[in-house]
Amino acid sequence: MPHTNEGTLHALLDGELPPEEQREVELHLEECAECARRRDEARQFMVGADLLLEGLDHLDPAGPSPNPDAVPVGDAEKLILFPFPPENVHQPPRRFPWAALVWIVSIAVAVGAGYVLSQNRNPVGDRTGGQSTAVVSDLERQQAQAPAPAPAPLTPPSVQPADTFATADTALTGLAADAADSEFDSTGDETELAQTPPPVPKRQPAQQQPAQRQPESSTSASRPRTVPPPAPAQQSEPAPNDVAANPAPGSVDTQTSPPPQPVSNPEANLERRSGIYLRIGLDEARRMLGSPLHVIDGLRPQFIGMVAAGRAPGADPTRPAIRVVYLDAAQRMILLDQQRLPIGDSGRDRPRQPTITSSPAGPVAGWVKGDVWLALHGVSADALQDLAGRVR
Amino acid sequence: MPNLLTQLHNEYHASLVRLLVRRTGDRARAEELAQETLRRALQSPPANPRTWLFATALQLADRESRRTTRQGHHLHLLRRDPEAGRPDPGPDADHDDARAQVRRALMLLNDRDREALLLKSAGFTYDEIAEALGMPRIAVGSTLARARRHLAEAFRDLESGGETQYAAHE
Repeated sequence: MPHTNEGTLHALLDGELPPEEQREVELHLEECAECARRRDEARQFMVGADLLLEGLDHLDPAGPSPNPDAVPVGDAEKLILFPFPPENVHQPPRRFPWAALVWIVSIAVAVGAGYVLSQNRNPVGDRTGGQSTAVVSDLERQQAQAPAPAPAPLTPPSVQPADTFATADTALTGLAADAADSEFDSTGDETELAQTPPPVPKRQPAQQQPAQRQPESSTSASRPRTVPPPAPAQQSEPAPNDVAANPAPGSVDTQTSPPPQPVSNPEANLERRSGIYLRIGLDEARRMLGSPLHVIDGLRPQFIGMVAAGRAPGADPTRPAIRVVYLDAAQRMILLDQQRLPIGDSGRDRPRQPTITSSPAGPVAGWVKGDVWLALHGVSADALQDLAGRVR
Repeated sequence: MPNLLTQLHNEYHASLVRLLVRRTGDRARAEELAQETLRRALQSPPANPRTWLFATALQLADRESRRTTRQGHHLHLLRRDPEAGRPDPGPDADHDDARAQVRRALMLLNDRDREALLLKSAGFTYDEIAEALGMPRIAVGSTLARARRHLAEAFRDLESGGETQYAAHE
């Protein structure tokens, strides 16, 4: 298969590829390090552009006026059960993290430019190892050898330039969390949503570069979180939300790391079992739905992802859907699928209240809320009825 | 007809204003353009209101932006302002530097790229973007790819104080 073009990579990341083409591209990405690296780069530009546009809303001085019926938000409502502010809860305006955003966009651009540099310097490149090792090592070499201007001229106050390229993707994730912080307060955010830490580290910590890792941990520590600080072995890990779909560029040094060991990762297994093909964050989910993501009150989501077209019960089979994955006390998966109604479908022919139907995979509670189709499944009909009443 | 106006207003006004604020940087102007868009929808009710309204709103904003830019250039020439050749944010100029830079970077994209990007950020699917902009669906991915890259790079260039290669798109 020829290399995947940039448009197709963006369509993949947006969940807009037809199922057959999506499978082909994903198979190719597993085998082609160059395309996988370009996929990661495309993701950085996608997130960077989205955040830039979102920043325009955050800084609008004449933003939406608060609801006069608003009630103060309580501490409990800042938890992950309330990832988006309910309409009747007044949230004071918060500043958008522009300084971090400037830095992040610089990184995204610089990593892309670095890739081009690495290709020019080494046409063959190191394509047998980590996807982005050549990029990072080349950029670091460039920084060390020449007094040339740094590719990313803007650095945040708490992060050293040496850490810049090794943590580009992690930083993107962090910025998304920052943006979430600014919107939802600092006690509950996207990072916490995917709070389940990977039980087994997927790679060894970069112990050879403790000085470079330090700033990152200090950056993380500077953001108040309800989650405990990560263990040392996980300090260089990006947020679990992004690990599967997007390994952090430059965070693996194939020259010093031991060969990959087969690991048993329950979270990865859960991700496979859940049927999602791409993890996404709250902001992406909200953008795709055109409205806040629906969640089950009282349950903590494991992660959010995209499911291929035709996999979500009752949804438009020509488009992918968003799936929120939960585990109940018995470790059974509860899946809440969501999809905006297709153009021209007002939802009049669909139930407005949760309606249980049977499907080959088991009972499904389906209904329309606003202009979003919801399908809850994975457990018994009785349990679905109870859970559906807690979806908000 | 009043029912249609109420329905369209309730369903789309807030989203339209948000999109237009991103596009113009001026809430009052965004409100006016949203009202004008809804007024046009009432004159000839579209079969697919969502796509039609958003596409029309962006067209109105683009048209106004071009007119404002032309007027701004004329004024600059009259004043012999050396900055006359630079893209002018017009009356939507922001006092906030970062926000102004994002808007300026956005304005440096070509019309189609910018509109595709704004529609995607408003939650449009590729099918809807293709319909709104009258382009083949297969071209939406590459349009968005180009738009995202150019926006990030132009913003980086502007923030670092240098000239951006994307000025050519203006």
